[in-house]
Amino acid sequence: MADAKKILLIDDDEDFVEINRTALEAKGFQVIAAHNGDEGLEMAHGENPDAIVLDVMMDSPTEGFRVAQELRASEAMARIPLIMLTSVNQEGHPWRYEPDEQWLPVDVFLDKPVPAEKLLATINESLAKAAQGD
Amino acid sequence: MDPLSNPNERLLVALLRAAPDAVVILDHDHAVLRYNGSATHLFHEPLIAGEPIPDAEDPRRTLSALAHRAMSHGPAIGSRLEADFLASSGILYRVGASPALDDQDQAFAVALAFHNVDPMVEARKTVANFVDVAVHEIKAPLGAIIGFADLLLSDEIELADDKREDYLRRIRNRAEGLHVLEQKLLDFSRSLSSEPDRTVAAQDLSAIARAAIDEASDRAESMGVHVDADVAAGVEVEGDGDELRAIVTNLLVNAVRFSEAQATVEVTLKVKDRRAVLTVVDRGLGIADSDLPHIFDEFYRGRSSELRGRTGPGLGLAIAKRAIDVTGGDIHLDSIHGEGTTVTVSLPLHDPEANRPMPEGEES
Repeated sequence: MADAKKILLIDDDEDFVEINRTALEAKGFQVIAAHNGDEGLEMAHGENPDAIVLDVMMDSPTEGFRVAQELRASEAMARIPLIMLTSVNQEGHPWRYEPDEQWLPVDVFLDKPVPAEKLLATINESLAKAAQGD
Repeated sequence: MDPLSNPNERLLVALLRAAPDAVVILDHDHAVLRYNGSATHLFHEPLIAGEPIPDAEDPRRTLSALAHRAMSHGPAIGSRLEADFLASSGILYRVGASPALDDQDQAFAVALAFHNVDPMVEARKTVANFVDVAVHEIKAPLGAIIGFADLLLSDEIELADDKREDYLRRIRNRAEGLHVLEQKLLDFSRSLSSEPDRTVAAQDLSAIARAAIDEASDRAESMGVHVDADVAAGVEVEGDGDELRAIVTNLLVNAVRFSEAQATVEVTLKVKDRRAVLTVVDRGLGIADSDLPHIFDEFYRGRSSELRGRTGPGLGLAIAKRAIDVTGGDIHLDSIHGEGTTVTVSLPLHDPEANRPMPEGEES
């Protein structure tokens, strides 16, 4: 498919990546994956994805926040749909996150575990919203 | 003049409001000057500005006495006096007292801050923490198991045979991880109870160790780690069978978990100086110096980035340590970050002569 949308998954849980790679590819997406924040940033800039799915806790408890802020600070990624995955019960983060332009510049928060169907629906919504904005 | 026109007064109001603990400020004559919302719940009688603070019944532990001592220690500003205070509700508070000094270094007021140190509050915190950690540890494997099962059951997704097998194996691995977690949570909850259900008897530590090693070896091999065991036969110690198993299992699980593929973990059990000595050696990641002081703390997990994805709930060594303590043993841990860890446990041997009734006529 020439116009397959490219999704970048950034998550250190290999099983999570495998499940969602299979589910998204079955729906015609092209999926690329990174296992930590730095790898994810490099791929985001090198591969130019259409949307990014980002875990919060990787090499550090708030690595996902740093990645989101760095992405938003770059011109190329300033408006890319960004979906952040969190565990509300995560140690040290006992509150529910809300998107926030400065501190948490992401489009959607999803609580883990996220069923593949829900992730798919959220990606489609975000892509549609981004297309309208263009 | 409105007192709130003074910025310092506004700071004080903000501070009093923000404090989750009760705070009361008394003047030189121990009358209430200021208090915050949390303080209104601490005393059964209402706090009234200008009136004395409702005090403890025990004259040795009154707030007035603490206030007096804090104010007469006035010049030592920057210090804080602390004392216990039993509120009429029966809740025990740790009270900190610090004086406010005028330009002549004379105390004109004293601030009292009350911190609830009731053992039940601490216990509740431990339980809440325990549940949080358990839920967090369960989420990822459960998500993976459901995710793979959904893919395997999906009508829309065609999976090649090798993929199906890979996914079933991954489900098995994550479920296996949950099984280990279950055992760990049970061991921990058991060790928390004040009178754990222990059955102390002579135990064949050699047999217990071999069984634990066999179980851990299966998991280790699936991660490409080899377990090399050298277990002396017939080593008997006096203790509880479940606790002894928990000691061996938790040390082994850690050694395997922090080893790289193709590495070997060595386990030896022998008798030395009338003690059973269990040694577990790995050449894995080792422990960072900054983590070493905390390794036996409950829920503590190493902070180094290379540990991400390898740490569990942070209970293994805490469980092992408690079990070793109640068995009358010692644990010693040597670790070099990046090179590996050696854990040595020594337990007293079972003494068949102990507890035996004296033969008649030889009583002293």
